[in-house]
Amino acid sequence: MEVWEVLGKRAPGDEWAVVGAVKAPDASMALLLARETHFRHKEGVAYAVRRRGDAEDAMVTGAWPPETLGGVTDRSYRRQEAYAGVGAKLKRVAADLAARGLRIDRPRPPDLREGGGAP
Amino acid sequence: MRIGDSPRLLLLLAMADDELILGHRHSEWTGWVPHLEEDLAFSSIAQDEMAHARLLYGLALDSLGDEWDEDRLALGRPPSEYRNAVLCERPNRDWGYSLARQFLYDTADDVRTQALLGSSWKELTEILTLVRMEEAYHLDHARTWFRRLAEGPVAAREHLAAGLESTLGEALAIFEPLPGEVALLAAGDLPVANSELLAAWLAGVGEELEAVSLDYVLERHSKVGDMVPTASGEMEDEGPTLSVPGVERVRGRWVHRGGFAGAGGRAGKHSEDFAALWGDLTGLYRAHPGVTW
Repeated sequence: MEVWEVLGKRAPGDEWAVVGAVKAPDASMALLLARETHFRHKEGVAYAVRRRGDAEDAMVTGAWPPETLGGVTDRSYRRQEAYAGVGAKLKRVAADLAARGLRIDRPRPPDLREGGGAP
Repeated sequence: MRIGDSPRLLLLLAMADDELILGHRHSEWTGWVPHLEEDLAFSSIAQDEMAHARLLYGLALDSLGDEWDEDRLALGRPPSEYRNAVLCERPNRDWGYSLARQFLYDTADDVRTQALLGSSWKELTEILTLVRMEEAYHLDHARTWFRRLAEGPVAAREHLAAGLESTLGEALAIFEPLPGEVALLAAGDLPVANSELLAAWLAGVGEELEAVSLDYVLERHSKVGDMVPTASGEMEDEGPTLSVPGVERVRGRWVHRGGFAGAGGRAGKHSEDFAALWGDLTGLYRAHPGVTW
């Protein structure tokens, strides 16, 4: 499958800049996938693709307007925040348990990699 | 406690549950799509559908008591209170099937949401205006893949055609009349009856299938008709199956003939596939109600 460079503009006045690449069989599929892989989170206001090796001006621009590029609905539910501050969370839980005379420590699993040191 | 059966609530649940359940099925492709970039694209569509369900559940909360929230609406109902079309709950099978389903569902959803922009229920039209901006992309995705698979190679076309054949009857059932539809029409909440929405959708899909010479899928449906099997539930007196209208080509246009009989997803009657999906989807919520992490 051919490689297509993905180009984008962060703001309306910007020059086109290469932001990545996708594999796709043709320009229409490349545009569909470029939009999804590189402009899903409001990374820019315009996007385009160019077959790797083609002339600078052989760009095919995407049709989606800046207002809808990157989506319009609230996606905060997708953010995985449970691992944020996990060290502090662990300390807090460990302190709670220690106050009750419990420990959440357990032996580390053995290091089975070649040359791995003894636990 | 039952959630209630106000016509407005059932209209919202029909749409929201379609999006939630199909979004869940789409999300099962994550990590398995035949092509990495497409894996991201299809996963994003799954997330969009769940975000749309969430918006609609949010509107439904206005008419429910304080004990309800979005999570409970999405995850805290028994199976018979989900009002999604059976099409949305079927397992993914192969890529051809999943794309055929996405094509038929999103074209149907487009007809439905377009009509509802004319609803007298302003809060609903505001949500659907937003939703349709993202659904436009889903349609683009569905049609791009539809044309690509339809144009071959042969194996791709065969998978798509097989997917369309297995989904067509259940796609018609997206337009199963809603309980309380007469009241919804009278109030202007639903500006167009489901039978008219079905007619509009079928005419459009018929043209798209003819354009790639796959309209034989419709011809086959017209010969066999279709019964949508549903699991026997507590409402056995209403019959175990939903039968959907047949289709035929009249003066160059695909139309349905006959109506629906029995009860399907819109009445809370689901297929045998729903139980396992519901178990996966709601297991954590049921095991630890109200949990945060």
